[in-house]
Amino acid sequence: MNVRYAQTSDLPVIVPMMVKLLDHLRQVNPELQYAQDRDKLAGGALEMLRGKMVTEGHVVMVVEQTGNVRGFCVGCLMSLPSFMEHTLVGSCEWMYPMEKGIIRPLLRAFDTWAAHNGATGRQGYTPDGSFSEKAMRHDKMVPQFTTFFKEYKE
Amino acid sequence: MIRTAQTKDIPELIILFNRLLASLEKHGNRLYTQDENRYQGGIMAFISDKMNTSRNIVLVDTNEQDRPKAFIIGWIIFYPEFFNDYILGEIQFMYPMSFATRPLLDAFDAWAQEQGATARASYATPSHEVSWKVMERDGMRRGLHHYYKRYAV
Repeated sequence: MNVRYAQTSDLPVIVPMMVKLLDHLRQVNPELQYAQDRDKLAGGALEMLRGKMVTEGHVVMVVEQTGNVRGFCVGCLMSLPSFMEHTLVGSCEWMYPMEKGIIRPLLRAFDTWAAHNGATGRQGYTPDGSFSEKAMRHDKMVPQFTTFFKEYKE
Repeated sequence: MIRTAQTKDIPELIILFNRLLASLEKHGNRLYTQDENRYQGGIMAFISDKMNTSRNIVLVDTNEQDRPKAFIIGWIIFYPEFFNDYILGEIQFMYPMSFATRPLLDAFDAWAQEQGATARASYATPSHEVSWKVMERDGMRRGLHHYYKRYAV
């Protein structure tokens, strides 16, 4: 397995992966507010990934096996208020697929990138009861917050 | 009375904020620094920044002496466009976590909608049952669990 920074030429491979990830997360938690429109889903994923690739403090990494991209992760550096113990953390926002052989090298590379840029911890998000939740607990991550969401009515 | 926080409110807000963080710590939140100077200075800097930065807000509910007895701190955040709602009003801190904060929530929602938000997001400490109940009774739906891990030095 080889992990490297993603390039624009990887987008045709990783955008469909991102859509699969969103579909999977929505299956795990139907409350998640992803667009139903497939074009909006894929277009939004493309815009996000392209933006992350060229924005300072953000990263998109891919993992390759025998020359083929097998998975990716997306993250950023996040500043927190100075009353927190850690004021700069690596936020691992999206990762696909959630397979042990893929997660480990991607997380190692992400942590190296984040720590090199000054982060002193990593945070991540997961829906209830998903494989990613098991993976985070296995990686000795600690639950800190649960997010809530409500639409404003017109 | 509900109003936007002013500089004169900062001393009371710091006291209320300390109470909030102490309560969250009791419910298992261990993300706060143990360095007292950084802790107190950080709270003051955070509140002051929130009062003076665009797309951020500190709202207070005041008593008869016009002193804050409750507050909400939040901001406008942007999600990727594959979300149904991608401009959100996010509540970062609210005190006290009780149903009495309803008028503050309404004021926050009105402000967020004026800024273009189409939904509200917020967080709860996992073992803080009251805050879960407040959010669920307000029709909020659970999204994601947030996990954290310190890097080994």
